[in-house]
Amino acid sequence: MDSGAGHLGLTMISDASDLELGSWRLHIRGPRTVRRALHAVLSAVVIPEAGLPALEMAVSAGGQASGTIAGEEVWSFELPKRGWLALLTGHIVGTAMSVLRSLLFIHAAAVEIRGRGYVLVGDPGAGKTSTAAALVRSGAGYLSDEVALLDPKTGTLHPFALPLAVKPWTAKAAGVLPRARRVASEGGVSYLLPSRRLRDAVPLDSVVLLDPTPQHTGRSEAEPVEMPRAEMLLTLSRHASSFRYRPRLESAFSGFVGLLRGARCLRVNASAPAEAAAALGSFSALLSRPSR
Amino acid sequence: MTPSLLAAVLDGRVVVLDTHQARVILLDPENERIWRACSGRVTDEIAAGLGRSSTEIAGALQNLAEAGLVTSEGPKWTQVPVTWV
Repeated sequence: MDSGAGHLGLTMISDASDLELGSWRLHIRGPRTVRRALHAVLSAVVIPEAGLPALEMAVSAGGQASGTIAGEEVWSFELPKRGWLALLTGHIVGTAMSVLRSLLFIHAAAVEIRGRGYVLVGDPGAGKTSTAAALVRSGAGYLSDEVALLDPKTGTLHPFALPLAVKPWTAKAAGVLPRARRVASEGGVSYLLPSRRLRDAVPLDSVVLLDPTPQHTGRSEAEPVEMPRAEMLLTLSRHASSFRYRPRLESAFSGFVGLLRGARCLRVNASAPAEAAAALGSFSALLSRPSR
Repeated sequence: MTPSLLAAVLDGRVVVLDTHQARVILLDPENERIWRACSGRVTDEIAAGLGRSSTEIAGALQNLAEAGLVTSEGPKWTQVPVTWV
């Protein structure tokens, strides 16, 4: 055990601890501040795939972070004074996604509505977090803010319960936030773990592209419209997803094709996340009505 | 190296995975017809079969070749083999 005046502006005691994210093990060596924050942010994350290689990560008192898998360093960088928690969490999640073998992922938010899973895809700033927050506030179940974890064999969407990373503008865009517990706060970001979150996988219903660019459709309000599955596959291939890892290209292609064949693909063109959430909420209510 | 392609039909549209370039290609209906016509035929035959000018078809074939979806042996065009998903 050692101690020192840390790069992050705090006196920190260095030690190590293990974190089990379901079947995936994370060994963290570093200042207590860092370990506590990571434990808090990752506390509800479960990766339901067995046999994945563990991540050994180290953060020095000087703020140098590194990650190693099976003896090979996979990343190394200096933590910034502000925003280090988001950066570290991003690297850990990215590493987890890179070692998956049977599950697929999309950088997306995900919610459950009436027992079915909805994946919200979009460019940065499209309002994924805000739309998910607004939906959860309206009664949807929280699955994820960052990662939609999909099982192509069963056509299901697994929870990946990272807290909502709420930046000041997210809070503004989402309006009133869902009931949640603040588990950490760093670099101007509050990490809120929604109370209404799902523990089990749900069947995938829809993959929704959030497209905030103005469209001149003549429609007065946002309304989900069907999007060709082939276009959605192309969209997923261009977003951060399992397509990013070359050894997994073929299984990602086959897996996403299978998942999209069994799912609805929608585009929601809304200027504000609250509008997108309302449109999706009404749409799913319509779908769940018993047919006559 | 033999190109390696995976393909699927989704909602009637052909999508192809080019594993060497690590990219997904979505064929529009016109290029799909041209691509499907590449069964060892020459440009003029393909154009005649599709009722298009040879010039137009030659340009499209060039684009398909650059995308790695067809190859030419002499004047004859053939599809690069794909595995359908």
